[in-house]
Amino acid sequence: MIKLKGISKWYKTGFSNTYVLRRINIDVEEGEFITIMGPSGAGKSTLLHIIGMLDTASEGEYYFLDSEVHKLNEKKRSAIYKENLGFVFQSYHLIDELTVYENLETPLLYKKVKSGKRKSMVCDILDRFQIVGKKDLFPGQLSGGQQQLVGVARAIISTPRLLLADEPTGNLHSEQGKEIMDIFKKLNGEGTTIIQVTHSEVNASYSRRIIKLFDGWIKD
Amino acid sequence: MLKNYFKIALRNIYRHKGYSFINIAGLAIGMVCSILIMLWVIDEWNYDRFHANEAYLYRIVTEAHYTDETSHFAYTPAMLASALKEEMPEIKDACRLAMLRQRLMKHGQNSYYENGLGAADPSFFDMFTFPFIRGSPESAFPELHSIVITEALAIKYFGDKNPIGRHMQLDDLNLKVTGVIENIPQNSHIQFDALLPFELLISLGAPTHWGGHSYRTYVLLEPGASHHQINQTLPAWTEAHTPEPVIYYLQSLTDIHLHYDGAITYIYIFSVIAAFILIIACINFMNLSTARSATRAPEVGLRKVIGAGRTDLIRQFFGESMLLTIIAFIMAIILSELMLPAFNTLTGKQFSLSISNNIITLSGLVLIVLLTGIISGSYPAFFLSSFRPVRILRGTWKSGSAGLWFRRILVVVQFSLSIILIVGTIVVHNQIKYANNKSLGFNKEHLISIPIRGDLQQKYLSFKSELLQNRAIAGVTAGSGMPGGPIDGEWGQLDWEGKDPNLVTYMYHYSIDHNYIKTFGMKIIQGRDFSADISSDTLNFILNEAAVLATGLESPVGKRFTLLYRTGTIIGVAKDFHTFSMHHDIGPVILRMMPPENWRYIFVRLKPGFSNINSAVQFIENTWNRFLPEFPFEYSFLDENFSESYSNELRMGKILNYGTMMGVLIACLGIFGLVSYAAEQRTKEIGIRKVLGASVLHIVAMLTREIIMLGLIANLVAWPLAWYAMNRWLEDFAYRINLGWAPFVIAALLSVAVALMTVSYQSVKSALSDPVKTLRYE
Repeated sequence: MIKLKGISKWYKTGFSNTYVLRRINIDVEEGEFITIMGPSGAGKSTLLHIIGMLDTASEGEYYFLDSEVHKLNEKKRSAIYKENLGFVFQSYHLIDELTVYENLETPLLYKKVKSGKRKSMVCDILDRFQIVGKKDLFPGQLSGGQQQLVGVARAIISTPRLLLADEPTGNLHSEQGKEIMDIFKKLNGEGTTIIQVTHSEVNASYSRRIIKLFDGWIKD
Repeated sequence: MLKNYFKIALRNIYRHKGYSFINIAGLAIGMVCSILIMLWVIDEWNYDRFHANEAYLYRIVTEAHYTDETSHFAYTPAMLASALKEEMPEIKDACRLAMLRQRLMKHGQNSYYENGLGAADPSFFDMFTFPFIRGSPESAFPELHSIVITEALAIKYFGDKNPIGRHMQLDDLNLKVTGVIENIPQNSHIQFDALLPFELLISLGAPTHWGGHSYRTYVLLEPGASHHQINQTLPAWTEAHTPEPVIYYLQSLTDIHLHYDGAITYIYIFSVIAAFILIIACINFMNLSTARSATRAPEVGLRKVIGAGRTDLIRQFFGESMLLTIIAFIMAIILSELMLPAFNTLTGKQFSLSISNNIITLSGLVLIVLLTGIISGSYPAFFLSSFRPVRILRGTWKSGSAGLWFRRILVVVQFSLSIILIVGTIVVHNQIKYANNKSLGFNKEHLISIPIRGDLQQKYLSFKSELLQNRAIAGVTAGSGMPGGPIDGEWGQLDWEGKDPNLVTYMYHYSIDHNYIKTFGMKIIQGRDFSADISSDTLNFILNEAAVLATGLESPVGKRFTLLYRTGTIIGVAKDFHTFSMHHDIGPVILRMMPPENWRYIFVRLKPGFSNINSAVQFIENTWNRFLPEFPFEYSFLDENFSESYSNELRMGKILNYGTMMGVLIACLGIFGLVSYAAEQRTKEIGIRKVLGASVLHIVAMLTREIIMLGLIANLVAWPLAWYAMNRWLEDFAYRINLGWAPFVIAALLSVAVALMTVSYQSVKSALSDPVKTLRYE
């Protein structure tokens, strides 16, 4: 599904380049559940952002399904992205001015889903995550765990083939974290490919493959 | 999607009330100014456009060639209209219009002086669109002694009775009302209250020779005829018809007010003022939105992550600014409606905002909304939508510096526009003050002019001696005209000793009583004044310096001089005095002593020290009523007549005053918002600096330094522009102030002071804040 060939990322600092990622090669099959681990500053989030097409590599090739992502312009990238990807963040990143229901609805709006279908999709996901009662509340009125639940719900509402999660449980206590991870496992079981970045060994144990990063290099 | 944007926008407005208030209030005030000024501009633009034949109507203008100059005026000989119509196939119809001097009009008990009397050919009503309420254009003047009156005049004399067929007395004429027309729209250059048949005027002895340029002539062209072509043939045509040194040409009806009367200048000036204020308000909006982008950045990043394209975001932010604009617009409409009466008083017009009023106003309003929304929404939309989500999500995105330079430039623009407005206000004010206070070459204070009525000319001497009984009255004189009022002119019947026979020149003349010069306070610099004791003085002349210059005489006193078939001697030279407003040069004036039947005004000089002017005027009125009980008493002060010639400038001065106040107020609102925002952003920095020992003064200086710098830069930008603009405006005056540096320095000090005051509240507040509190949250 994903093929990274020789991906490097650097930033210019003065006269030299500061490398964040160095010649990364990764293959991801459809249906995998992968964890990227490593110490702070190892380049985990950058790698995730490049896979998630939020960022571009300085060098290397990136194939997603049949597309050569490194050759596409922003518009085409965002089209692929919109169809196939979902993102979950450490800090929940909901739109404060919108209710839970509206937050869930927004990605569907951008995908131009018809109003009737939109309604049933939002209701389905509310049901599935058991947050129907919270649908008219604003993010500020929810606990951290509940917000992240909404964040995950929003990421998967349009059934993406690939779910990317950046420390999804980082700001949650262990019980809430477990709840999120159980959902990930269930989603993976239903066929969604998942790549997560985490520090937590417990979370990593949910996945089937672990990629360790150190100073931008993949450590085997 | 729209609903989603709308909800977010409304919730954002509600959540950030202070910010929304500044934005909406600023925009609304800016719009109010634009809406009001637009009403005025549209009204001026529509001048004379209400006639159905508007596109084919032209006025004839006379271009008179004197030796030294060329003069244009819209007066033509009585023979011109019929000659043009008969000889030029392109001219479908033509008519004459004469405006008559004030006359006493009577019907039963109602009698008033009427100024708005005219006389026209019957074709006038076919050519122009002045709709009849009673009667019809075809039967406007069925007999010689007819009169067509406006609705207002009909009500004034006849109340609710039908005036058709009833009679009115005009001086000694008995006229039958044959038509009532709608009141003349205010934006028509042709203004009258009643019209008589032009033939009646001729039967009363009006001159019909080619030399008497006293009437207006209008022509209606055949469709497809070009007035340019006619204008090319007219010089030759004129030469074949008249010996006078003139050329006639056609001027389109809509050009009269805009170009001939110069309204276009004020349309431009006012449009620019409106645009300035609106731009200042839009800049507020842009500045505050971009400054606030730090708060919106996470939302933008997030929306991009969940699938929003850039166009989606641009659309969203445009939508938000449109919504704010529309809210501001609704407020602006309500405010404009409230301010309309005051604005009508200011402009002397009758505006209303009703939608049915006209379609142009409506589309103008929509245009203002769209323009404001687009201008103020564009930068935030493109700026905010360009955020890279990774940087925002990662937290490496620095809010403070985003768009900082752009914001600074906008603040400079805003400041500059305000400074230009301030300089403009000061200069206009100074020029009007200068024009009103400049010595006119005679004493215009405490000088009353009274139009002569009835047989007062015969009773003049006894009337005068009765007035002089009152110790408040210093002098009484009479004449055919006065500075700032009517004046006669002549170019044909002028001759003097040693005159170059080829010289054609135009001079003004007054026919006066012997003590006119003394009573007005004019000065004789050569020779002597007229004397009542020297009977030959009725043939003698006094010239002003400008007239002497025009004759080219080295020592004029004692030289032979001829004016209008009367030959005499120049006995004196008067020091130059202003006969017109400061817009015009001092004209060449000939003074001649003439018997009472040539006078049209009596002038009364009050003693300068005498404070109770009202009782003096009352005394004059009582005396008048004993002499002329059947004529109402009317008077005016000469200095007020002069002030009235600056009404355009006065109005502009007032509108500039309000405009400048509004512009500066809006700019201050914006700067206040920006500084509040900056202070909020720098709370932590201020806290740390205070912990490190910075004084309150130091922090206030830190926060205000930038605004002062921007203010100074803006001054440098604004000065040359203001200098250029105000010089152009002053060119309209023959006598004008020197611009000097004072207005610029005042504007600079004022702008920086106002900005400082605006900024100081926030700066002092944050400088005084407790660092323990501000740093605790970190």
